[in-house]
Amino acid sequence: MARFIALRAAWAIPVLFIVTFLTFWAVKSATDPVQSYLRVNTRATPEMVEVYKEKHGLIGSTPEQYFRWLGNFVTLEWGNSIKGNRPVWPDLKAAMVNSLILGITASIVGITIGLGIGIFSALRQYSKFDTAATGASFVGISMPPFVSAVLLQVFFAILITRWLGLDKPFLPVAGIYPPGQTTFDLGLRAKHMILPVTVVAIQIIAVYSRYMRASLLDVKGSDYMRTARAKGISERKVIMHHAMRNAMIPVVTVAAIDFGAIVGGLIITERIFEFHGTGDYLLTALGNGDFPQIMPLMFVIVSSVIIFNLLADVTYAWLDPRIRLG
Amino acid sequence: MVDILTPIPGPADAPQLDELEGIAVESASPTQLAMRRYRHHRAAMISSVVLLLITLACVFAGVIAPYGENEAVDSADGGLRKEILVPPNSQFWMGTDSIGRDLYSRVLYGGRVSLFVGIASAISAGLIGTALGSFAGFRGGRIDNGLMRFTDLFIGLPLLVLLIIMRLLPEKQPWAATVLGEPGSKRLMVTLITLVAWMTTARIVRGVVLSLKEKEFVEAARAVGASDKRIIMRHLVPNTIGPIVVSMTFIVAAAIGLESTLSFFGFGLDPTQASWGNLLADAGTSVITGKWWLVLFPALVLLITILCINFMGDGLRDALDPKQEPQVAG
Amino acid sequence: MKTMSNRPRWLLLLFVFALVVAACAEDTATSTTGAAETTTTAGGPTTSTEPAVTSAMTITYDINPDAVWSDGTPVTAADFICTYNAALNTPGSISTAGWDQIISVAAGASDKQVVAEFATVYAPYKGLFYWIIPAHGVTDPSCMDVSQDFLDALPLSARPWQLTSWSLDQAILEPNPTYWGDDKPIAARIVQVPRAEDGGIASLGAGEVDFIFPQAFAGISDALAGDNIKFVAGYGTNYEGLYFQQGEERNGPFADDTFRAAFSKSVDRELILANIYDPIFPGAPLLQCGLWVPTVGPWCQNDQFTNSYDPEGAVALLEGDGWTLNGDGFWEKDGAVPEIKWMINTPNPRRESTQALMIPEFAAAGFNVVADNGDADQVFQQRLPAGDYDLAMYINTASPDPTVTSIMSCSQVPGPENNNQGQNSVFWCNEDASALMQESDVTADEAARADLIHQIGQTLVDDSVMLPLFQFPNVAAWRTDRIEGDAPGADASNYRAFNNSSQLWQPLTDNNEIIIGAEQWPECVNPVTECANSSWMVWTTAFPVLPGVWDTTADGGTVLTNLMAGEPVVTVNE
Repeated sequence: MARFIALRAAWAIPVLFIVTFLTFWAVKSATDPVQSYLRVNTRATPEMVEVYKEKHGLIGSTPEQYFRWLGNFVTLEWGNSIKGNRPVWPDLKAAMVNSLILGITASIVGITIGLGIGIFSALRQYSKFDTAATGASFVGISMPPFVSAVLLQVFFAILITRWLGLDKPFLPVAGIYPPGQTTFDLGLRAKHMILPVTVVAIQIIAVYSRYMRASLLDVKGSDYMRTARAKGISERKVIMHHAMRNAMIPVVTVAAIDFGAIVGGLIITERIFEFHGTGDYLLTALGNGDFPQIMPLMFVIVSSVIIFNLLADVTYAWLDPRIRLG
Repeated sequence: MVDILTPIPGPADAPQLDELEGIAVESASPTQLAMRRYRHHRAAMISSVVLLLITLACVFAGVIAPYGENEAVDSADGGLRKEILVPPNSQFWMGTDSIGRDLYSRVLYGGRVSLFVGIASAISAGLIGTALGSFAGFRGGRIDNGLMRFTDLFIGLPLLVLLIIMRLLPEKQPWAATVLGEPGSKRLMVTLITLVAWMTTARIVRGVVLSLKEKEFVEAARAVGASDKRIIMRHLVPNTIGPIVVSMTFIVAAAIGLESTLSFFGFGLDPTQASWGNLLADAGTSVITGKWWLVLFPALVLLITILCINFMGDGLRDALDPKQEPQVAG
Repeated sequence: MKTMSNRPRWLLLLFVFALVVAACAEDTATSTTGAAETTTTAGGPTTSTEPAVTSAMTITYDINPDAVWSDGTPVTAADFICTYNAALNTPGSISTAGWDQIISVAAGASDKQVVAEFATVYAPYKGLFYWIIPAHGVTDPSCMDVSQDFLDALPLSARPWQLTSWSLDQAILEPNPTYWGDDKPIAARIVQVPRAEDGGIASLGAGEVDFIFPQAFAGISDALAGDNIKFVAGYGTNYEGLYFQQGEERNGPFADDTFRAAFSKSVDRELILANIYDPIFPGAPLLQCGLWVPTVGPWCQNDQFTNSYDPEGAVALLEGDGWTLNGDGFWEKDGAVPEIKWMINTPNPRRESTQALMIPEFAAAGFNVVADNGDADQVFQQRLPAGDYDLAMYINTASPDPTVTSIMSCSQVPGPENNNQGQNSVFWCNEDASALMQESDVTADEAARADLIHQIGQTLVDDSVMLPLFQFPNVAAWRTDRIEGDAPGADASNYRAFNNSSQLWQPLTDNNEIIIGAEQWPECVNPVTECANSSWMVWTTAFPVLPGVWDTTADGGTVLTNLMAGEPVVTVNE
């Protein structure tokens, strides 16, 4: 087991370097920081451009630039954005906090409800509940998140407010807080998270309910389970102790992979609800070609994904002793 | 959300017809069995019909559509004014947009583009994935390891982010524009989606090939002296077609969804070209201005199409691979 | 030779030294425009042996003795000097026009009096000192570079409001406790939040914001229908137009004069009127004069562009210059079909509809136009000043004074001579027109000046510089259950609602505050550099906070503010 983890970890490190280097190269090629700088500072003299390039280590070959950038990144010298000359770290930190809150809340809500629906569906196979849940989950998967976001926003924030003749929105249209809020308020924060969390959770629920259902059904019908039942253990105990653990294996794997997808899915939701998180931040930065803003975020995303994959493999192995991939 | 290219599990409880077959007198070929299973999947059957109708309508948009793709319809009472923002009526079944273009026609033409992107992506991803996945699975060893490690790099990376970055490349780098495609072109969109989608198919095919490799009939074929190529073509490929088709079907659905999302945010197809994503982007906040038809019809068509494709994929999976386990990584 | 005693010799050396320094400083301070515009191209005086330029005009400003900044420091000449230095020397300053006509700014009889010496009789002088920067509020005491200041705060105020907080998400204005004027704010707080996606229309309807200032588009009246919503369209001095980037060095398709003229003749402005503007403002006519509007002064000759649409003329021009229609139906010369990049800011439904309407029309006429859009910051703060477009569509505001030298003269074409600081973003250089502009700037007689302006307008037509489209009303919309009466809409025409917010806006809410949804949001609040290109930055932060000598009135005129003790004294020195 230890050897397995060690091997996996050893592999993860060069992967980290390779992937982040590729990302660095891709982002730099796609955004051309010098050109972005010139666009913003239309009156920059050639000397100013040289100074800028020096400061951000944009001279030399690409690998050189990468390592220079990496050095700055690790020492938390993330520089200033090209547009607006704002320090990167404070804005990014605030954005990450927002996204984490949104992502974690949505994940907890989504996974819990999703697993619950999946278990219920599997136990009551072919019932009306099962059919309805199946249909709903297919719709949830098929609907692109921007469509559901816009529809929910229009319906709950605008139409219902209009129909009920309210003078404050039923559910907030956008933002993290209502305009004018300067202090922390848990209730308002939560209220503004309802719609974004719902949008993100819909997809999570749809996927997890399917996985759990299929996984549980699979285990339910296996020989392993028949033996347990034959031994006389109650159905409930059988499920709770044996079926669940085995059924969780594929679900856990999915959960780990999901992290990267959550980041992607958040982009859409955050933009539409003007919820200033990393997704919104990234979308704006990409639109501006703002290299100093994009790169740290991409590094964090990519390395998180790699670490999560590693964790997934480890958990997978722990849950299922038969697996010792290496 | 979750790596949308990974198909979600279907009901792992399809009737085990092959078990029953042993009892009945008549025997049927695998294909016929598959078709029978498919027909039992009601949602898939309905979806097939609906999807067929939609596809035919879009393919024949040139014939069916009452107006041109970008034709701002002149208003009936002459003059320079066009038929702006007309609600659905007998002339314009889905109403018109802000400069008088018939939405129904644009939905049809847009469907052509969206469906093309979806199908083309699925085919190229399927071909590349099958080729590489079966090769790796068959050869095993280092090549297989290499493929797995390589695709491991990209699992879990947020697709949308990858696609947007890659979409920006051709704008700044001329070489990328030549290799991948011009910014805003269908070719670029198909290329990009293929690049992220082939890995799913490759892994599935590799998995199937690995499991088949150990089966007796392969050993038998080898014992008889069949060449590698013959083994692949005559024995392995027919058995992998099922999972490949299923995977490709889900890729079509995912690709259409990705294209519409990218277009909605302006990172997709050129806005002058009608696609369902672009139509939704054009519609913007039309519901608030009361022009609900601009949002409802494209959204509905988009949703129904993707839904039908997903159901069909589910039905195909039941039909072609009834005892398979949930598709997960590894 | 009689030997000089020590003292006179030192004095002589000092005097020569001063001359040299003055001459060198002259070169950098005045860059290219220099004392008097000569007929050479962007060159300006380069000989350093010129003596100090004589003052052609002197303006004396008397600052109100009560005028103080929000920290209690009085507003003095030092602030005026700081403003002058900052506008002229800060790298990235968006406009040096006019400032470069000033020889010196200094305190007068006391530090509450400012004396500005001008090298020419600069007619548009009211555009200067439109707002004043606090000298003690910037990091560089000489104020030569304020680009690193005011990134996310304008801490000092000398107006009814002060900006207590500003971020990319929210700006808050609260009453300035040290404000000396009579028009103290009625509201307790004004909160502003960005609502770029739709200009705030959804938020207004849902009650999330109380006031918005969106750009009109077809269907907006339906969107703003509601029991508690009122909206007003006010005709001000805004006009929307199409602009052609014709810089030789930038080498876009419109650098070719014939091609540009032909394209200009192929734009059916009546079609745009019928389908884009008429649905919003039925019955309103096209604007037919260039950079002015008929409702302000005699400057607009409202028939100059009437016959701009001439498709046969366009064909004749192109064929006569060696262009042919190729197989795809596009005009081609030497095997190349030019691609015209049309830039608008998104999201903006009206402009997007215009693109959707006209791009096929242009294609039918043989021109390959493609959309090349960006968000408001990109378009207005970056790409427009850099000339990074071929065809642009945007709204300009006609200033009360008809001068267009700062945006249309040869010397203002961005280039190495003016350190890329020029504001002529169409990159148009016509020497005769520039001479007319210079002349009109120093012509006092209104009738004579109007004649010169009309001539300049004609050159806009002859050189295919731009195409005016529509005098564009501003739309103000607010919730009648939150804000009292008609006040916010009364001056919608010239965003006076923002400027007079202290007196006009009476909240009906319990917390006595007003929430504004902003259609655009600047990247920073620096009033000198790129962020000042954002109108919203100007309206929502600079106007309520920074003091200035004159304010604009709703009909495009100017009125003195209470910063001044009296009307500034303008003396023309002969």
